[in-house]
Amino acid sequence: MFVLNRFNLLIASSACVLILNGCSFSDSSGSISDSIGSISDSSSSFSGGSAKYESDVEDYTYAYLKSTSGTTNYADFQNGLSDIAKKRGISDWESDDHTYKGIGKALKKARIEGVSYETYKKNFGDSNPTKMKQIQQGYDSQD
Amino acid sequence: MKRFLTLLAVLLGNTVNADTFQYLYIEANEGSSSGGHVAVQFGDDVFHYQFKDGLIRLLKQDADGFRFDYRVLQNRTLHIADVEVSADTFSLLQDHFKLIFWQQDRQFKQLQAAEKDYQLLEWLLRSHSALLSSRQISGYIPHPSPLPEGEGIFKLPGAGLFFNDSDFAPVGQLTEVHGNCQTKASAKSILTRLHAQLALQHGSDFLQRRKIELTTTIQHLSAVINGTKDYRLSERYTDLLTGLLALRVIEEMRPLTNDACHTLTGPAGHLDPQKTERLNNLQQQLMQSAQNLAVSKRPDWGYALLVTMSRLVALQQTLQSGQWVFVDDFSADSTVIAAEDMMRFADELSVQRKKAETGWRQHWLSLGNTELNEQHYSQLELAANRYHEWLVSNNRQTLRYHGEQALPVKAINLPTIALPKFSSQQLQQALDQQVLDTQQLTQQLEQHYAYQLLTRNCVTEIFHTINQALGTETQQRLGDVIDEHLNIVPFTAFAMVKASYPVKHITVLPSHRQQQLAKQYQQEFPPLVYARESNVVSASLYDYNPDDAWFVFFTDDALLLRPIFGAINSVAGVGQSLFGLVKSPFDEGQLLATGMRGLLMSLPELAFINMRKGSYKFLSPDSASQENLPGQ
Repeated sequence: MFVLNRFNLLIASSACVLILNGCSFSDSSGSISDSIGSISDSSSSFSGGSAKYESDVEDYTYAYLKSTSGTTNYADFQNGLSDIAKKRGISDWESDDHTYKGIGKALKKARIEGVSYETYKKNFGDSNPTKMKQIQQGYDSQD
Repeated sequence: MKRFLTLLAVLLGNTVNADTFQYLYIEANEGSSSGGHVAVQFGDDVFHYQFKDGLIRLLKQDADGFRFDYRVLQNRTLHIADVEVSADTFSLLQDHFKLIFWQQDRQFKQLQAAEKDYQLLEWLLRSHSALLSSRQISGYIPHPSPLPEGEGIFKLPGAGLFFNDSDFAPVGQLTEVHGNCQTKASAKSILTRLHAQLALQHGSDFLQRRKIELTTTIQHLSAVINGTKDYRLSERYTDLLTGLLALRVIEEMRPLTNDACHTLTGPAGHLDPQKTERLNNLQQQLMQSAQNLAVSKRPDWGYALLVTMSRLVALQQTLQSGQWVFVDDFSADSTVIAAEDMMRFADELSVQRKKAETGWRQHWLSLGNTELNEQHYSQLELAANRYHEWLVSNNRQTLRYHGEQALPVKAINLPTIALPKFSSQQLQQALDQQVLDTQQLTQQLEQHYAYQLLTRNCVTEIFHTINQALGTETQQRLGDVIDEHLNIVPFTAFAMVKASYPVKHITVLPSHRQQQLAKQYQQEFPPLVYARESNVVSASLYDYNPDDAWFVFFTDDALLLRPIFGAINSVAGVGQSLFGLVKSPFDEGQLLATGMRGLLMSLPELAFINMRKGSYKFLSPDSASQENLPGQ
């Protein structure tokens, strides 16, 4: 009887530990996104890809603005943009309209206005009229 | 009664302008998240907390990918609660999860960069005296101290597309790289054009000036961090070196390395005039990009320029030869399937092979319908690489399965072609500072994200984030506040969500095996199906996956027999452990660990608790149909 009780206890403890151990091990067995056999293969996903890229840029920029106090480190910010673009197959993100539209949307979402906004627009857009115009388009699209 | 009224109010309030997010509970299985897992889904994005290196962090994953991972590959049943909330509440929650994800991402990257700085400084200090003496030798500067292996800091991604490590090695250590990538004529043709364009725009001495500028910047890099914590020394140094190499490619009109590209031969992929025109247009776009990148102020312009030039060369070769040439987009650490596994999983893999062929065909056929941009080309390149990998796997008897990148990353070891001018005192000072800095960052992360079995796990953090997002309005917006300190187990937390939040509908997505089993029950004599599929020996729905510990019986659909089956599974676990013990000197105890894990997973079965369900390694996403069990 004593042996049986100890046995039950062992089983119950093992079960408890394992059940409580949810999410304690990382890395699923293979993500769809990096499997040779499972990458999205529809040409129709191209447009979705651009929209998702723009959305990622917006979210990243918003988080950056929210968590950066004082001077913005543009090199660090740009490195983050490169990482996002890399995952979407974009190396020259400076020539992609969606980059600056995403930034513009984030500025609006962060409720940056007036002189502050103009400064960010100029700096993020590298004083380039085309890029600044795209930032403005993104900003205005959030009205 | 009060809770009911609150929920009713929330439900009625949400009917106007309502939106729905999903709370997902994933059943237990052997391996990762063995006790079950939870996640939340907003639109196409799934957010979930995972454990890694003692920390728990938020991940964002594509919903299809997430479901494929857990439901098909990991063979777990998913329980999904549709929580109906107002559009405003939905936005608050979604935005907050996104915000936390990106903020964490940045914090973890900062730590990674700090660790790289430490490695670089430590290596420079160790090598300092030897480097100083080697500077006296003109031309090649040897590595005075061996570069630590496996460290990202000592690699230059993208540079491997045009350079081999042997290009920077002493003459005696030259090694020939094998491959069929012969692009000398194409590279000369396209890079001469690029060179000419740059000279036209910025002067004939542009490359020389830019190289001097970069070399000088490297020499005057500051070892001490002062106000530039976010763009670190190691990043600056590798970015500048990569830029230098990119300029050398243009200057020397270097072809791609022998193993950096491949050709897709055969009738598939024929280039008609329309497709040729598309490629010509794309080439012009990329040529413009290359010119912009050569003068860009973005830190990593060198890598982007190398990638762009590699694609320009591949496109030029394609247009000249009339046969598709693509840059190899697999990373060096791609997962490779060995011949043995290719034979064992031949059926599953043949489905994927066919899919890869169809994918490539669809991509190049659709070329004529749309104007190509860089992102489209990346998709085309991915599809072509995937298909090509299957083609060459016939002869090679191995297959790179995971590891394709949307942009090529072929790397070389850090070449010491230009070095910062640090004194050993400066290096020591910077290293001391770096140690403190890394410690501080590590402590900050541990303070916020250290995994605690009972107080900070994937369940608690989801509720914590929800409660944080809605603050004092949580009850008003969701009907109730789920206390993250009291709900720590995935299974019970799901019950709590059902009872507390305005859940409109529950969907159960059965695991891959359960889904297939249900089909067999409908088509065949059920007792026969049960007898055949209950064990791994006669099962038609499961081939032994080496990632799973040994077991004999499936117990997820055998409630009454579960303890008996569990006892037999435990014996299998003991057997594997003993075998692993004998083998441990040869496999570093891997088999022993797997056997022990199997035994541990079988013990709960003795008490009618199922955890282990088997998993699948090589199924394709097509295997996951949308069939659900009826909602509850």
